[in-house]
Amino acid sequence: MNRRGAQTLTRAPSLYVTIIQRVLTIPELLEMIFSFLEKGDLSRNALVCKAWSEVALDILWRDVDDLPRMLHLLAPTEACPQGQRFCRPLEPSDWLRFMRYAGRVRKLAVTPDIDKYLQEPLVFDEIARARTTLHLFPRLSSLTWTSETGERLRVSLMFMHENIKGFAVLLTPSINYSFKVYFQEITLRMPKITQLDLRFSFPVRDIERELCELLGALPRLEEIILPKYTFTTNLIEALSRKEALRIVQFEFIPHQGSGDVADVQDWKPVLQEGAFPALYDFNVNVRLPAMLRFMNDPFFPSNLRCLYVHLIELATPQCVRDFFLAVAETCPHLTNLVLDYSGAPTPYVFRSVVPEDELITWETLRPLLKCSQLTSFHLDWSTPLAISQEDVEELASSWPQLEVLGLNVSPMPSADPPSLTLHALIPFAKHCPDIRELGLYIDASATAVAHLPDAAQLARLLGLTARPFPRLQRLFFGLSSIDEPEAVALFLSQLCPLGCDVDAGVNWPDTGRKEIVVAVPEDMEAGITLSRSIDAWYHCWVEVNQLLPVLVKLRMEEKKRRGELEHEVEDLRTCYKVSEERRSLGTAAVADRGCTLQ
Amino acid sequence: MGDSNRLTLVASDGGKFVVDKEVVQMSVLLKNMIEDLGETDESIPIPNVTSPVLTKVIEFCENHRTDAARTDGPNVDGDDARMRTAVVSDWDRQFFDVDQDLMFEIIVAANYLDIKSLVDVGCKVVADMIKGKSPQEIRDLFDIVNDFSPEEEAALRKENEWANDR
Repeated sequence: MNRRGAQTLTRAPSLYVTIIQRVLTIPELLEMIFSFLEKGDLSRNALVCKAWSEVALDILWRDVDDLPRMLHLLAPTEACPQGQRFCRPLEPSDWLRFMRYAGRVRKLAVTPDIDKYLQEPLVFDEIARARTTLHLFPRLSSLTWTSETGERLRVSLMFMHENIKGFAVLLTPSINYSFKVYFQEITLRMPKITQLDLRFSFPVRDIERELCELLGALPRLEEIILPKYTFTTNLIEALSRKEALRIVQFEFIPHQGSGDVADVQDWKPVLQEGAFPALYDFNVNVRLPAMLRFMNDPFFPSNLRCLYVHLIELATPQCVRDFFLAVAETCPHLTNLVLDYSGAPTPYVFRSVVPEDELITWETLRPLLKCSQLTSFHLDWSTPLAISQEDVEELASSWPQLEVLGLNVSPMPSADPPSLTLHALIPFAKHCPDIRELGLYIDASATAVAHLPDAAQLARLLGLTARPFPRLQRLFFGLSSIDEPEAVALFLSQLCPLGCDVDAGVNWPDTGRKEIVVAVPEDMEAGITLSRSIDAWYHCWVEVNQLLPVLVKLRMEEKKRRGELEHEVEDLRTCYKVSEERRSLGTAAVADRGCTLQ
Repeated sequence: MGDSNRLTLVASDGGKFVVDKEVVQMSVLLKNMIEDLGETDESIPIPNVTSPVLTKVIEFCENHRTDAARTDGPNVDGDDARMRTAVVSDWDRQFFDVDQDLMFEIIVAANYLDIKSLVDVGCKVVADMIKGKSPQEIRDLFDIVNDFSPEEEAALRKENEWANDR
């Protein structure tokens, strides 16, 4: 492919533009080619020629998470007792060099590490004094500022400007600088914010009024992300008036921080006509009766696609049923639903016997089947579901569009084994071809596995399904019991495609894999045994995950070979039939003696 | 021919190609054109693409027609990063094992006809050719003239050397 032979000795520019040069100067194509390359390659591409340089540098400097690197473009820095400072006063030529790169930066993130490295604001003071333009990064559209020192929030003002759309900040309280003033700065300097991400670890009531004012002053807000337990009554009502708001979201991840659950205990927002006109993704931490009341509000938004309800308190099965009824009624377009009572803020408690009236049954879940557009559904509950194989059959056949399902995979186990077995996978294999992730809480112990259908029965159960689970990527078994990994992997290998992962373990936020909490002292021993079993189960599932790919491959080869054999048998049959026919004609017997099968 | 499932494309040099409608529709440009025209027996001229290039483009579309339906819908999970690192399949690599001029003409044609998967693969193949090469090797490979002064090049090198250890 080398075109050396076509070059002239002097390397003078060709008189005509070759096709290659034409392609390699179309910025959109060059950009696409470069998008497949690593940073090291891009830095070399930047030296090839001026046209390449522009495109490569634009990509290379688009996202900056290393502010000191930017600052070194101005002048070298050195450590001094108060932190980093420039070795010399800044000059106009420094700014020319800096602006060549700063103009390419779209995203800037300052992390606590970077902030600590820069320490006292010496470099920023010099920049503030010497800068030749107000906007250091004129094309910046996303700013993330996470300093752990409250006083240094003000430094972020230097990077704010009116075209910033995405803003994320860690709010650290400081005696000398109030959030009220900071929020006013945000409103003034970045009025076009569409995505606001506030991280903090104090009760939201401390800043509630200021926060509502801030939200009111950002007309283009489309997405808000806050820590858990912060979407209070007042905040929800303030947000409901946002014309462009599409996403209301909290995050469990530690760096988002956390509010105080007390702030959402007495949750009763009231909506006005035209509330949440654009909302499609809604995530809250509430008590379920409060959520029900909210959904029955005549002005509850009707276009929700995604709903995540994290419960701060356990609800009765009756209330859960009412919730599902309300969902089916008020959210006809819903595609993603999560109902999550996963041991936070209070951890799950082990009880050897769970009272019947606390169990979620098929009657509780059934109303949800009306949501015919649902493609993703997760339910996390403290106690195992009381559902049968027939119920699962009905669920799978009613929801053929399903892509992701997590059916209470890690409840606190009780003394009884789970009601479902691996058999429960079969209806999904049969009815839900699009399923990518499937999580079930099952009994995969040796006794249960012994009762699974054999290959012939399985084929009959699957009926015309030629390839079960064509898109399956992950099976999640949470706290399902298991004791013989080989037998389980053998069964799964009949259903799973190559590359499907098998996972297990708990997904209880906050609590993690700690000691089991028991309700009464008599359960202590059972609790300890359970804790040991959970570890054993986990290791068994890990083994299943290691065995599965090999077995699936084997089955594929076996199937291929069987196909070839069947072909061969078919050929032989034809051959036999032909020779039989010839024989019956009485002419060919002599000529073709070698081919007769007798 | 009167077969409503097939269409005739005419290359810039007059070469005629009868192709399945389904295959033609992998080009967003032609798909829109067909929708505008409605049912018609007229052939469609492709003034910017020569016969040898069009032959290759059609070969690619014929081979990829089954995966087109899948990518037509909403992006499966919008995982851009994974798309970027996706390797080029053996078939695609073989397909682009042609002389460099033809390779680039295919990419230009794909870009003009708006066939995303072909542009994508083409760009990946070019990216693979660039990977790990020095600026001078790249200039030699594609016959590109260095229009930087030595000072400019040295400054650029220094200001971007941080990216080398990434």
